[in-house]
This record gives sequence, C-alpha cells and structure tokens, in this order.
Amino acid sequence: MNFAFWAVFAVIVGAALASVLLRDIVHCALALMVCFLGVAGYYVLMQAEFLAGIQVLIYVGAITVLIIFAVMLTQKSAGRAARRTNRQSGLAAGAAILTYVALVSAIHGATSSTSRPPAMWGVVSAAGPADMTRAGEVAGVGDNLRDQTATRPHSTTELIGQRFVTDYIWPFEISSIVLLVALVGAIYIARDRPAGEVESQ
Amino acid sequence: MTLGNCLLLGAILFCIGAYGALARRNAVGVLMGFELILNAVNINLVAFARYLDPGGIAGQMFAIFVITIAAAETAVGLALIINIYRMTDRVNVDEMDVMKW
Repeated sequence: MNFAFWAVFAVIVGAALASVLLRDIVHCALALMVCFLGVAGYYVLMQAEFLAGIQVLIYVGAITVLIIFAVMLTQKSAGRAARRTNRQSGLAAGAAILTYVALVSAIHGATSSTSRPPAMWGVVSAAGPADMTRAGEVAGVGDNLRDQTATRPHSTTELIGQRFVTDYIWPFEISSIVLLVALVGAIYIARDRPAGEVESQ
Repeated sequence: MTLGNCLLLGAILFCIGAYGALARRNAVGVLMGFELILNAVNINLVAFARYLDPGGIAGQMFAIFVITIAAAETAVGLALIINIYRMTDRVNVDEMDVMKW
C-alpha cells in the first residue's frame, strides 16, 4: 500500500512537472493525461472508487481531448512557439516556491502539533480501513455513519447516489444548470461567425 | 500513506499548477495549469474525507462538484481561446491586451 502510494506520488508529480515545463504544447497535453490517470490511481488508494471512475471519464476522456482539440485548432502559433514562458516566469517560480514552503510548513505544523485532538490526526491517519469504525467512535461519529461503514466498507458509489437525491439535491440541480449554460455559452462563443459580423463588432 | 503525505502531494501539485498558470505563454497551457490546481484541491478533499471523516463522504461529494465546475470552465475557456485565435491568429497571453476589436 505504501509503495503504491509513493509510486502514484512520483507519477503525479513527474507528469505534472512535464506538463508545465515541456516546450511543445501537444507533449504537455499528453503529460497532463498521465497526471490525471495518476490522480485516478490516488483516488483508488483513498477508497474513492466512484471518483476514480469519474476522473477517468471526465478528465482523461473529456477534458484532455478538449485540450488536444484546442491545441490542434490553434496549431499555427501553438506548435512552435518561440518562447515557452512569458516575461514573469521568474516571478511565477518564486511565488510558487514561496507558496509551497508556506503550505508545507502549515501542514507540518498541523500534523505534528502537540495540541492536536488525539483522534483526529494521530489515530485515524495511522489506522487502516479495518480500524475505521473504532476511530469513528473515538472521533464521536454518529451511529448511522458507523453502521454504514460497517456494512459497506468498500463501496462509496451507492452512498454518493443516495446523497445526490437527498442532501445534495439542490447543488446537484444547480450544477446541471451550470453545465447547460456553459455548454450553450461555449457553442455561442466558439461558433463560426460570417465575416461581415466580425467586422461590424 | 498518512494524511500529511496526501496533503504534501496536494501542495506540490498546487504549486506546479500555479507556476504553469502564471508562467506559460500559451493560453492553452494556462488552462492546463488551472486543471492541475483543481486536481490538487480534489486530492486534498478526498484525503480529508478518508482520514478525518471516516464513513462520511462529504469530501467526495465536494470533489464531484469541483470536477463539474472544472469541466464547464474548461469548455468556456477553450471556446474563448479558439475565438481569440480566429480574430488575431495568436493564443499567447502576453499579446492579449485588448478585449474588443
């Protein structure tokens, strides 16, 4: 399990670095696809099987294909750009490294602080899936949640489906409207206008 | 495989994505940086759902909504990029300084 985690870690970080640093934008898109697949593997390790499937379907299947289409449609200037980065690349690298240092120090402070609640960080993070119910008891999780963990320890899909039509019904419907609006807007923006209409704008 | 390691992975991916979004010259590359940032957010959400909320799946629900919004954002962003390319024959963000032609 630990080896799998570090393998996924290396794949994600390496592919993400490649997708940011490579010169040819098509290679970047392919590296991005590898990175998304690594994130799907991470979801499997985190026992989020439904999310792993969604990740493969939407990110690897749809978004990367969309990006590759956009790259091909803008190939004339995209393929052989003179410079990969803009003028603020040094500044951006400094900002990214500063953010990284701040985040890592915050994570380190939170996970190794002596004033932590004992059940939250130490017990649960060290416990495997078999100890989840006991950790839930320590953390004061309600009875119904513990029963769900005991009866369905490895299937989150059913639980997610139930939540979508009960607790999260309004966010679910609103996100479907957001998707519809984005679809119509994308088609409207990207449609091929007659030449005269562009001139008159 | 502890919570700290998962958060470290999210932090590294976020910073790589932030560098890509800030430093790339190609607008499609900027969008790819945004995708990396959103994936880092999802990694954090799933890790918190796994380690701090055992049995609960609120973190995974939020991750699904993040993926939905990411898909919508990518579609609209790429449509804008294609439109800009049609008008100016360029997709470099440091050459886009007007919003209307």
